[in-house]
Formats: sequence, structure tokens, C-alpha cells
Amino acid sequence: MMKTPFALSRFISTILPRSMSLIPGFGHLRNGMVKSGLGIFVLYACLLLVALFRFNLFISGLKSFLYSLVLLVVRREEPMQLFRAEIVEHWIASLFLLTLLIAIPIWAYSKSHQRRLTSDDHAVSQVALAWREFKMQRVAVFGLLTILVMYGVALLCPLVAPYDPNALQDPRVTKFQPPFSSVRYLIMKKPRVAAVISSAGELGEGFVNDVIRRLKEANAVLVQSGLEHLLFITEYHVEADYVVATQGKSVLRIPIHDLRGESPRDWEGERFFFLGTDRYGRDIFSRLIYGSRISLALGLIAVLLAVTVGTLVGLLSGYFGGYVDKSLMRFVDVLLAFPNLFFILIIIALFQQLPFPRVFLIVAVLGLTSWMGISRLVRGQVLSLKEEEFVLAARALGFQHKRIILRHILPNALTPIIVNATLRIGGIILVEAALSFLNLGVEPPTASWGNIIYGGKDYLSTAWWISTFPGFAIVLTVISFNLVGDGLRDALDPRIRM
Amino acid sequence: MLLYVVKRVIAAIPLIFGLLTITFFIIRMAPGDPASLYLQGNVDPGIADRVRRNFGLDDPLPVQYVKWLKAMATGEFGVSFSKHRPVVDILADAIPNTLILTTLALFLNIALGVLIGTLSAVTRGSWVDNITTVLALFVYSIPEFWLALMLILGVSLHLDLLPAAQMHSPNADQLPLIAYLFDLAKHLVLPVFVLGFASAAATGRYMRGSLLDVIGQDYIRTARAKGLPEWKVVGKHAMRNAIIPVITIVGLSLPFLLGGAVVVEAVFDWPGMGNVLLEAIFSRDYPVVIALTAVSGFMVVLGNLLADVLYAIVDPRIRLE
Repeated sequence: MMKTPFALSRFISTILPRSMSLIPGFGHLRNGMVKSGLGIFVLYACLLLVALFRFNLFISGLKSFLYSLVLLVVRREEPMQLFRAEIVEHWIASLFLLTLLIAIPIWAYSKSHQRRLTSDDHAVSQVALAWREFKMQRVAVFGLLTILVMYGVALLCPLVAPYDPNALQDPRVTKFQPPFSSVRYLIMKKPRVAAVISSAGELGEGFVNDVIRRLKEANAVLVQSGLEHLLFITEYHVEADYVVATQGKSVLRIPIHDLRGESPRDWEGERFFFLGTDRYGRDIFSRLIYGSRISLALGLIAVLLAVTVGTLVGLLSGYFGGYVDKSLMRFVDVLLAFPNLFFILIIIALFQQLPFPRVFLIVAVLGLTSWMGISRLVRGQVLSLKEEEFVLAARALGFQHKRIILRHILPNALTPIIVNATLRIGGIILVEAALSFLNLGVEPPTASWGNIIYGGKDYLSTAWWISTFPGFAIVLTVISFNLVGDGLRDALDPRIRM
Repeated sequence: MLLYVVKRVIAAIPLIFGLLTITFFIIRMAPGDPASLYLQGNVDPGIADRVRRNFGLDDPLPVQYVKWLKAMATGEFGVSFSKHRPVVDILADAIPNTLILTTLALFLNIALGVLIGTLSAVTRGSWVDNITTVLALFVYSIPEFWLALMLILGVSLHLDLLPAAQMHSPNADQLPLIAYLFDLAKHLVLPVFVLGFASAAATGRYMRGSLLDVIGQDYIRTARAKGLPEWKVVGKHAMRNAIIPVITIVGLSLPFLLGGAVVVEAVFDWPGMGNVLLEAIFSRDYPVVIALTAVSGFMVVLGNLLADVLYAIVDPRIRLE
């Protein structure tokens, strides 16, 4: 366990007064759990920083959600047009951040004041036992933390990503910027699109109209950051009433009153590209953050689908045996005979004219082509469990098949299913990336790690950074899932625990 | 032995049958009129009707199904839309190219995998073992296409050592045979490495586990007790038995000789099956797509069969079942 020597623990609890344990992480520190304490503290500090730096967006997101909720209750017909993807994205991010900001201190406080389990506690649940076992494996814990942080970032992406991942602004100047470079810009007075949402003035009086007005204001803040008209330039100087700016080879003369504010301090700015930009001048770092949603969500959902189907088929096949078993297993054999990626490509090719986004097709195909292994595994488990005495007892009691399968067999077969599912996510993420790389995955401009790499592959010699960084993200994610899977297997396998 | 092979072949027949059936239904399930799969763009309804009749699409479904089986069995795959050549010819061009690539990759996979696995098992618990374990996990998690791109970036673009794409240099036809082969070899290095390297990580893991199991056996202790040198104990006594499960794994990957190189072929612009498939998908060349489905499925069954037979040759106990 993560215990520090007694003296250090005493020392920490003397220098930190009791009231300090209200700060997340400090309670753990006082109890001598230095690593967890520091981890929680750093995490919370990061979240607070995000909330502070993006305070406006954060609050507007919450407001927008609340007003929409009110409208939904008051007026049923109107608010459907409010559910636009980019707004909902902000709701999720703001709500998630708020939940974390509230929940972490409470959890940390109650956790650090709990009596800690010791090894001779008898009443320890299976889950707690497995968790204790899992915590012993450092790399697996590291993998788990990485995954959790990634999912957190994916949920918070509108707040965490520095810029709009799809904004095309003056590609002539911003394209192919190397990592750690920055580009200067001038801020124009007029927004890029003449305020989509600012028809607020025409609304009458009354409670509902008031709510609508406020909602529109909040939504405007959320969308506005992407609408601000920035003019990216190589350099500029002021000549009388004009600003003379150069964009590469072309020269622009802009009247000063078209720019925001009065002095250069108001209208000039600089945008920093941490990982560089692609051929349209889009920020790679922001695209990586937004792209993580595709890989992470898709991997998880596809695996859930595969596990559901595989478990169902395996249970039926193993439990009922006979013809059910034979026909189902033949079917599995046939499906396994298709070469995986080949098969997936062909299905996507044949079905690509569907009326809905290709993401759904990909999830379905990835899920429905990777359940066969799980079904074989479950079937094997069921075959051996079926002969166990507790199942015989259940049968002797006259329970229905459904009850025996769901209450007696499935819970006992769960361990290998969970391990297998975790190990499979990595593989699915790799296949999704490969599909996107072949331009048969998620449709651009939606960012996904695979299609960022695809977008950079023709510019390897001039702009290596486009294809390089998403690859690291994929490797990190897949390794983390594999580490967690390995760790789970070791933690859940009673043979190793003995 | 012969009886066993015959048995296996007979067992494979329903598999192929099922494969073709599923392919048929997948194609029929695809949205839109099946005739539109064979037509491009907006055409005169009269022509569409004729096509429908030509392809027998106005027959009842069971009749169509039987016809489909017959066409697949006799290899009548039709003519490619985009290239205006018989599909069979296109496949005949592409298959050897893919086979060169994947066969070499398979050899690299086995050689490297067995070597790494043995090294790792023999030095169990040491830093060599730990490093190979971590490396294997790392390699296992790298997307093939990205590894390929990074190799192109480093080896081809920066160091300019090997060609980055294609199978031959532009002027390869005029070269003498030796130079021609050398040119081909230079083009093969990177794709073969990418394909073989990633799978060698998995093979190495299997080899390690299997060798560790065998090394614990009594007859190994006997061999050691006889005073045999360690390399002989491992090389002659242990490895022979340890390699059996590895062969199954490799046998199971035989199907990927044809279908497994799609991504790598795409990155290196290798004129093989994978690239033919991708081209066909992007140009909506359905006869080619359908033929590839059937052929690759058939190859998978063949690969499984080969693995079974191979397994029976290595492990005599299997045959007696």
C-alpha cells in the first residue's frame, strides 16, 4: 500500500492543521497517503485552473443548460431547435466540470476520514478485494489513471481545447506551422458571421421571453469564441488611418476603424500552436483533444456491443448445448473465417450510402465483428459452470432457465469477460484508427486520430508533426488499455492471488 | 495422415458454403436496389431493367442464391467497372504481389518471434526479459500504418536509404535480373518489416509462455542431469516441443497472408489485394469488391485447413483422435 514511514506521516499531520483536510488531497496527506493525496490535489488544482481560465464559457454552459431546462418544462414545442451539437457539447463539459468540482472534495474528505481496511478485515467484498489486488500493480494503476484522465479531457474538450478544432482562418498564414510556433493576428470589429443568435431584441415581455433572451445570450457566448473575426498576418505596421498587414506575399490595407478598439493593444494578438497546424491551419493540439472523443467513445461502445452479443451467444450456446450449440458455433466459425479488416472494409463499402453519419455504421460493424472470441470464451466458462454443484442445486429447486443463467452462471463467468473486454478495446481503437487512416472512418472535418494522420501523410517530408503526434496518442491509449487489462487479469484471477 | 487431411477438407466445405451464404446476404442487405450496385450514376430505367434481367435479379431469391453459388464456384466474377478488365485478371495480377510481401513477413514474424521469445524465456526475470516484455507491449500497441509512416519519415525521407513506396523503381523493367531483384528487395524491406515486426511481438509472447511451460517439465531436468550443455537442452529438447503451440498461432495467421496487409499496402502503395480492394471501394467497383470477399474468405478457410494439417504433422497425437 502507499504508506509512508510513520515519522513522515506524523510530520505531515503536525504541519497540516486539521481544518486543512477540507482541501481535497490534504486529508489523504495527513493520513500518510502521500501519493494519493498529491494526486488528488494536483487533479483538483488542474480542474480549478480550467474553471478559472474558461470561467465565462463554464458559467455560460451552465446557464445555457439551466435555461434550456426551464424552457423545456415551460414550453414543449420550442426548445428542440436549441439542441445543437456544439451547445450540447458545452453543457456536458460544464456539467461534468461542476460535478467534479463538487464531488471530489466531498469524496476526498469522506475517504480520508474513513476507517481504513486492514488485511485481517473479514467482511471485504470481491470488488474491494480485487481493487486492493489491482492497486498493487503500479503500471496497471498508471494505465488506469491515464485512461481516466483521457476520458475526462474528452468530456471537457470544449473547455480544455485551446481553439476550435475546425476553424479555418487564413490558411495562407497559419498552415503548416511547426510545433511551438505562434502566429500574430488582428482582431476585426465585426464578428465573422453576423450574429446568428442575436435576434433577441424582437422578443416581447414576460417570463418565457425573458428566459429565451437569457438563453440566447448564454449560447452566444458559447458560440462566439468561434465567431470572432481574427485576421492572421505575418506582420503589420500602422500608416496614418490604415493598418498595412502582410499575409505571406499579399499586402492588405485595413482602415483602423475596422479593427477592434483604439490602440494596437486592443486589436493585436498572438496565437500559440503547441503541436503545430495542419494544411488548413487548424490547431493539431485542439484536434487531438477533440479527436480523442471518437477513439475513446467508439472503442467503449463497440466493446459493449461485442460483449453483449458475445455473452448472449456464449450463454445460450453453452447452457442449452445440442443443436443450439452446434448451429451457433458453426456460425461463429464462419464469421471467424472472414479476414477481419478486409471484412470490415467490405461491409463499410457496401453500406456507405446510409442516411446517417458513418460513425454509427463503424460502431456497429466494429462491435458486430469482434464478439466471436468472447462468445467462445463464455461458452467454455458456461460449460464448466454448468456442472458445478450450485447450478445443480438451482436446477433441483426448479428455477427457470432464465434465473439460473442470469443469477447463477453469468456472475461467475463475468471475470474473464471483463478482462477480455478491456484487452479488446485497444484492438478496436487500432482498427478504428486504421479505418480513419484509409479515409473510410469518421467523415472529415470531424477530427479523429486516424484521419489527422491521414491528413498529414502526404506532407511527411515538409510537415512531419501532423502525422506524428496523433500516433503517440493512439499508442498511449492502447498501451493503457492493455496495461489495465493485464492488471485486471492478474487481480481477478484467484489462482494468481493465492 | 491422408485420412485426416480428407476429413479436414470435408469439414471445410460447409464453412465455405456458409461464407458464401453470408456474403450473399450481406450484399443483398446493403441499402438500395442490387442492380444499382452494378450501375453507376443515373441511367435510363430501361437499361436498369436489362441489367436486372442480365444478372438474374428478377428471379426469386432462392433461384438467385443458387445462381450466385454457381457463379462463385466457377469463378465468374464479371468485369470491373473502373478498369474494364475481367475481375479474375485483376486478382491474378494482385495476388502474387501480396503473397511476396506477406510470406516474407510471416517468415520474419516466426524467426523474430521465436528468437525473442526464447531469449526472453531463457533469461526469465532478468533485465533482458523485462525489456523485451515492455517492448513487446509497446510494439503491440503501435498502429501499423503509423509505424510505417514513421519509418518512411526516418529511413526514406531523412536518411534516403530505402524507397518509400511502390514495388519497383520507375525504370526497373530495363534492369538486368540481379539488379531488378535487388530493386525489388529494397522496396520490400520496409513493408515486410512493418508487417512482420508487429506480429513478432505477439509470437514472441506465445513462444515465451510455451517455452517456460516446457522448461518446467521432467524430461528437461533429465536432459540437464545428463550433463548436456544448456544451449542443447533449450535448442534441441525444449524448443521442439515449445514450438508446437506457436505453430498453431502462426497457422491461424495464415489467412492474413492475403487480407492482412491492407493498411500496409495502402501506406506503401503496394499493388496487392489490399490496394485493389481500396481502389474498388472508392470507385464503387462492386464486382471487384464481391469477388474479393469470396476469394479472401475462401483463402481463410484454406489457411485454416493448412494450419490444421501442419499441426497434425508436428504433433502426431492430433492425428489419432
